[in-house]
Amino acid sequence: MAAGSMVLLTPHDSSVLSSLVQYSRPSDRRQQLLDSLEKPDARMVGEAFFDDQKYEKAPEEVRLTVDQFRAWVDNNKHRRLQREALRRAARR
Amino acid sequence: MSVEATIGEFLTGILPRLRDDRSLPSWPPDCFAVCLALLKRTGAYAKLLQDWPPDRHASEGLAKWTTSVQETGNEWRDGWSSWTPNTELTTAWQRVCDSFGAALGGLSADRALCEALFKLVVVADEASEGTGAPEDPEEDDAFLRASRDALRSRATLGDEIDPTRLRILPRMHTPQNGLTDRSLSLYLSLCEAGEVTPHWLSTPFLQHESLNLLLIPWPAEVLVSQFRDVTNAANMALPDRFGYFTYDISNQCEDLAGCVEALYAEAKRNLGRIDGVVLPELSLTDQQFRDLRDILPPDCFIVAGVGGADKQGRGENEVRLSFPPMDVLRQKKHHPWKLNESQIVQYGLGGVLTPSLDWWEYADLAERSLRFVAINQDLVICALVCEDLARPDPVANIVRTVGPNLVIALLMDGPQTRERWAARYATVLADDPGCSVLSLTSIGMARLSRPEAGPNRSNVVALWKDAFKGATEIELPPGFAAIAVSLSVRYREEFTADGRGDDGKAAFPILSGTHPIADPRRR
Repeated sequence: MAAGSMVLLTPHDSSVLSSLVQYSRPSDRRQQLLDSLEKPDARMVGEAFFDDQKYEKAPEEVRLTVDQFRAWVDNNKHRRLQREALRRAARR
Repeated sequence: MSVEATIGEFLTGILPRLRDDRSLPSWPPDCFAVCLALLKRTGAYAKLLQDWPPDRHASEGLAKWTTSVQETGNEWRDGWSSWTPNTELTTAWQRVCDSFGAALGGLSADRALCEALFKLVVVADEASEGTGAPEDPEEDDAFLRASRDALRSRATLGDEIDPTRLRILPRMHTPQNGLTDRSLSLYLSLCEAGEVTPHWLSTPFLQHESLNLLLIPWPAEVLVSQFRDVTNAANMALPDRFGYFTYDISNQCEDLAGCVEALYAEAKRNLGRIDGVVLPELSLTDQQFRDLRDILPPDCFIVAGVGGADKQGRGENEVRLSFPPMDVLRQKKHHPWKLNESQIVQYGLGGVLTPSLDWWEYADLAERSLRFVAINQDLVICALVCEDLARPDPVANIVRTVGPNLVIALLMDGPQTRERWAARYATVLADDPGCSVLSLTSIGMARLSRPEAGPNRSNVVALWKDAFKGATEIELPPGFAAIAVSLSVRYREEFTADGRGDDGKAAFPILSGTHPIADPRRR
């Protein structure tokens, strides 16, 4: 991808980060997932996702990737609420 | 003299620790696999379901059954790691353990045992809701965390059950026709251990109200001379009535990157947003694929057929899936194309490949894998290359078991008309388990194809089939170079054979718009 794009994640790291941002409420769980990331860039993404100070200091491509994961979390929440509203409407 | 297998022998073959430790598997997918494998092997579920539910003479017997197994499943899920199984489940499991010495063939006649196995299957299934696609969890869910870890690290939801014995995958659709073991669960799939390694991957792809795809039926021209007889150079010997061929795509010199960039911009101008670009089998070289990835924005995924040749001249034929920020996934074709006399005449290849022989595609088919890309709860996508759509082994059966929401089939084939083979197999997947299927060939191959009778409909380059409508042919009108299609998601409740519903969570992409796209540079 062109310059200014996101960090390129291995399939493993992409899947780990997807889990990390959705299912990481216990802090020990978060650390366990961060430790399982293969590439340093992916780890920066994971850490910057949860730490605003690290986000501010991160390279642009890391911030862009964090932004993508944050947008995705919001997107998933929006779609869940939308699905539930549709189901409620269908039952009426 | 042969000796009939016992239930114990069968179950310890799946979970060896049962020889010494007969405690109930605490991880729901393990329990599901052990019990369903036994019901499947014996077919006992068919007889069981002839008199259903267990308490069918009571008022609201079915409602009581579904409520009961859902509640028990939720209880299991909420506390699986420290769970002490309730009396109902331990009683059912003890009934199974007490039958270890019984012959497999007698299972169907033992209704109490069948009911015990079935209850364990459906409660484990209910406990496993939502394992497949990444979704927004309303609250912390330890079960989903653990299931995602298992899928990622071992490509199976099994914990105690090794994938060399059985593989457990999520399920996105439950067949609404027929009666098989696949009719019995909403959230889990039981897959035989096989030669194909499935990979279940997630990427942060943003889904909008519709999914807009740009279908580019490249190349516009396929020459007979691109097909080569490589029989003498091949490393594999065959009887005299067979030969080997390859398809050379290295001489496609048109400005593909510039063309795609222009088509993408035009499609975006028309639809406002393009989420993905799809190109047929063997449409791109490795370099062309890289060029496309460079020019298309990261919010646009690519599913494309890429070809080439290795140093020994063996063809390479694979699908590449690029869903940024995840790196490109590669999946090789699983079956070689076999050209017989009829197809050689159909495509007019007799000048380079004699019709007196059958011709095998000389391609690297090793390292068989299947990628499921889970974007969110509504969309799990997989891609197949040509024959992989038609042949049940080794991948189509996994696809049928899992039921991904969208199957993209990349073809090097004639027109995608309703009566041709791709439509037949797309219909099979749409009917059972309920996948939506998009097939795409190149305009060059469609034009090369000459039907034995009737008009040549070479402008039909793609076909759409979903669970709701008949197959829809997608035409490329003269003067246009691509087609933009919009997919919307429809939800419908699916039911298992025992009467449980998924509360309308099953998601079906449907075709909600087609727009031919011209190259604006050629106006």
